[in-house]
Amino acid sequence: MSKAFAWRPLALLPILKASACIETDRDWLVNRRLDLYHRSMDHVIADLNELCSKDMHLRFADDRIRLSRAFYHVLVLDGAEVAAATMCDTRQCPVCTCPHDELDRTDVAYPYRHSEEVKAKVEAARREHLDEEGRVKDGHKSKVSISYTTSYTMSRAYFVS
Amino acid sequence: MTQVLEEQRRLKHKLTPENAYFKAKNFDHIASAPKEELHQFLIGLYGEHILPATLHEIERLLRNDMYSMGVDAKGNQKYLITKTMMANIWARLRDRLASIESSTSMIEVTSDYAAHFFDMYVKNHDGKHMTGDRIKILLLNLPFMLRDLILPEVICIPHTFMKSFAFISYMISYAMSYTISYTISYLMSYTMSCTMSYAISYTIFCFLFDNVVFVWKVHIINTAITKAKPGSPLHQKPFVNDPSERLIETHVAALKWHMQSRKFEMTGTTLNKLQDMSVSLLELLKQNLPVKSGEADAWKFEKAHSILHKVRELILFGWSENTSTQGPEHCHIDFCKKVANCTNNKDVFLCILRHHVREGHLQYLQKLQADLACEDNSEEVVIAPSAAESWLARNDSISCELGIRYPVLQAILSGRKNHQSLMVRVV
Repeated sequence: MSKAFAWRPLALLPILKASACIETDRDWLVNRRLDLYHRSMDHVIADLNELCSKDMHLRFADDRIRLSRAFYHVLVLDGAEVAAATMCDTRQCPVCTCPHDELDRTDVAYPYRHSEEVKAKVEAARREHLDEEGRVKDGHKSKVSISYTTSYTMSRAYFVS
Repeated sequence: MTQVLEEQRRLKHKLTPENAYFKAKNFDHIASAPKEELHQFLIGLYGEHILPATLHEIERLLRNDMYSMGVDAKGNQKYLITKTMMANIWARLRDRLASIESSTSMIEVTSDYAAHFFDMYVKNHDGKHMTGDRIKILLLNLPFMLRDLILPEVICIPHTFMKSFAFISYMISYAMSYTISYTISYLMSYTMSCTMSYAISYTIFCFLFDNVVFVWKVHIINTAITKAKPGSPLHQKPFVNDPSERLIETHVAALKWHMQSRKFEMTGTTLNKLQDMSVSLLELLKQNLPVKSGEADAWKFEKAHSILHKVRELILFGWSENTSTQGPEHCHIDFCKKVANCTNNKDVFLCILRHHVREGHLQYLQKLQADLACEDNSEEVVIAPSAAESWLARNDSISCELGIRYPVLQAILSGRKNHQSLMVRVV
């Protein structure tokens, strides 16, 4: 996705209404929505990485100029947005490794999840199950036979909100 | 179960598409996503789960198969507590809410608010969502509204059980109440006038007949249920009881948890206390509202589980208000919706962004004019603003909602044309 175009999905926070789409498969819609969000965020994160990588002079509220360095701060999100950012199911806990069936247990404390750990595992799983284009490899069963290949052909229907 | 799905479930992460946040340097986005209090607890857990579960629990107890009166001509179950009676209960709850007034409760609940509650939770109106502040009012008041809410309906149940010997039961109740109240009035007649002692005696009689004898009847039925052997229609049936106490206990626990989680400057001791309260709240939810709103998973979902992580969030990110969107969330109405309403829906978001850039330029001009005015009046004594005035003069006109869009705004407005940047070049 081009950088100039990336603001549109982010600004619209796209809701792909099944009734307005030609493709109505739920998994396809979920994947499409996530893909739009993350490919748009690529540009934002690239800019922020650049911003956080070097010192710069900033004018502060007291009108003084100071040498500063930007850094990432917390994400403040709610349920569905946390799920979109962490790509974790909304029925699961994104913070710890507690399985869904034990979410109401109070006698066990499960270890926390961390980005680098999850990233390494996800990349290993992607190498095992997906080919270079992001499609499920032959012999590795997926729930539905949809292609995960990203296509940026925008249809007006996807942005009806 | 397919391989890819199994893998995704195991990792708690989708394999496709590629997560953009993995590319963020020196940023653990999973650990750095605190729950936003409004959506997680107030509207999320309390408003969407605990409240509906409470109403469902009341309905489940009263419209139980045990209290069925057979079937009607169409084959539908005829319950002892009819739908009309249930509607009366919810109307009673609505009226109790509407009766809260500021002279006695420090807060005022309007009839509109009570009607809003009724529409949302009783009529299940999809479009009637409550704001965080309205949920807070419910959180504060509902424990007091639930006490004896369904007492008249619970009283009906023993009457039906004892139908076969209703007359005897009535006579025994009458005799017990009359004897006790007459004895008391007889003793009191030595110290006060007859009229007064009869009045007190009548009050005691009514109270005993309505309440104490009712408890006695419920006790008889519950004893019969306990002693029922396999094959008996009462075997393993739930006890007849008023669930008010345990419902109130749950709501008070939720209120206390919320108040504890919002305390400022928490210490290790208070954080430990909060963790204990989180555990006990989840246990109470499981114990007192076991079926939630009829879902198989009951309390096995992320929002209920997340209260166990509240202490971790407080340690990592500080006070709840640091990661709450309550106030600024309203900004999207002032900064997005109201501006969007001024457009003709053509390139609406670009229009909004341009509006904010122009507003920024105007603010800059106003500041320049103010500076010039200060220079002209340089002889005047300038009084240093107080800390409060400086705080009030902050520029709050940039919404958090737009924060995420500003990095890409430069790309839209061809980068260098955006003169609003705060970056300065040091020569």
